[in-house]
Amino acid sequence: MNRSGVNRVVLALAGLLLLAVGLLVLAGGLDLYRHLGLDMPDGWPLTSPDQPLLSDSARTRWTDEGWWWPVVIGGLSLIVVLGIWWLVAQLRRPAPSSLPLPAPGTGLRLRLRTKALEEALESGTEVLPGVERGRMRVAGRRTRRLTVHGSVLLSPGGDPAALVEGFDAGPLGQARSSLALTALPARLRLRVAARKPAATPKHPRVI
Amino acid sequence: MTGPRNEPAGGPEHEPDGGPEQAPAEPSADGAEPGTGAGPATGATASSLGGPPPGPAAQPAPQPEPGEGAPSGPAAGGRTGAPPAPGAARAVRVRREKSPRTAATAVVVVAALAVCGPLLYDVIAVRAGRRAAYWRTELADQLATRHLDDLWVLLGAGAAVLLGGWLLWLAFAPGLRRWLSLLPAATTDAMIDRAGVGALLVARADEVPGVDRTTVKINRRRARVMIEGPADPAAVQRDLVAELDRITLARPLRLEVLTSRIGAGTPRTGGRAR
Repeated sequence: MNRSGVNRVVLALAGLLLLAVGLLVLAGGLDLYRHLGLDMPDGWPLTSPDQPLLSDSARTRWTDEGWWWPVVIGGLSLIVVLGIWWLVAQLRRPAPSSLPLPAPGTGLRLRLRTKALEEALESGTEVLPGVERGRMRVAGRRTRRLTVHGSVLLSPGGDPAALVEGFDAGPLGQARSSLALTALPARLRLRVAARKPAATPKHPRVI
Repeated sequence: MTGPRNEPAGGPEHEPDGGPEQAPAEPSADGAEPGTGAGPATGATASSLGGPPPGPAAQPAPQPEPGEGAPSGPAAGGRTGAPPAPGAARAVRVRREKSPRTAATAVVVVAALAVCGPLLYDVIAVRAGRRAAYWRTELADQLATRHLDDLWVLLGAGAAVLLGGWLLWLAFAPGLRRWLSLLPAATTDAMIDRAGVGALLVARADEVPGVDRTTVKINRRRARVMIEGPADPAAVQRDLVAELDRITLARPLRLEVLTSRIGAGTPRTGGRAR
């Protein structure tokens, strides 16, 4: 599962937990079961408004069992470890710091710094027509699975379709062939710069 | 009365200051001057435009003059709404990119750590023979004494329901509503800022002779362009359809052109008389 999928599962689990607890407490506190004439099965928690949220007897129901504390400590530890692992994963570099650069026939073993590849993509993008600024980031854990994420600021009146085609055929194609990759997909986000205010008004005003 | 050149009935739509979706005032284009809004400052002279070649007649106009004759939107007053003619290439269905939801997940993870970390520490400390922390005994006491109809319990439960519903919505909604997909190249997928599309439409409409001021509101399905001035709305419509075709959005926007003939010395009743 990719990173977005993990994040969305975390959000869904947290949302479900909050929603379920909140709905149970609201239904009990507002006495909805009685108002609606619902008959909940035995053991359904929090059915009466006079009930405490978590009584002492409910809190200590299983504390004498042998399995209780290992389960509590294990569950809490799992949450803490997974949370720290998620945070550390955000800090990791999104790509290896250098990439193998093939130099066939020379016998040399060259490596290209990923930063240099990003800068080459940026300068190749900024010479395309109608581009004011380009920022490129290379991501991917392994060299064979790299992707390029870019954000491009077009000048006013620029041509988005021509830019996408030009980027695909130009800087991206060169990077792919230089690294001898079979695939180097890219995702661009385009914005358009605001127009500079006109020096003179469109219609000269005569008073 | 309800011809395409009439003023739209809605009054507030004339205001040059639109909502937060008003495209040219979007501050996202960092590096450009703020204040380059849709006010009169957008009315740049046609010769100063750098992008597409001027002259509406030079552009391909696939829309066969929707302004004249065709009473396309009689109920909507001055609308000349028509989808930009979808060519065969527009049939491509582009998978919509989803937001990674990193920020929301970070908040949830940090909150979970803030709750579970101290609790884990204290549980282990108690198992090792220490006394429970004050906050834990106090919390257990409160949970055991406050009943379900306590005001704070109900408020907390309501907040938990709202927050949980919002998190679930974040988990399943695709997000990235600011971005519209473009038709992809061979190996490049691209999205364009909604405000950027608006800026391109404003720049194109301002080139049409007789357009004094252009305001654009864009959502994910529709671009509503409001022009002021004595311009021919059919010409504006034609040019904007050509501009949208040039942008090649994967899912074309529905275009609505609203006109009012306020400004440029034309009396306000001039538009209504037709």
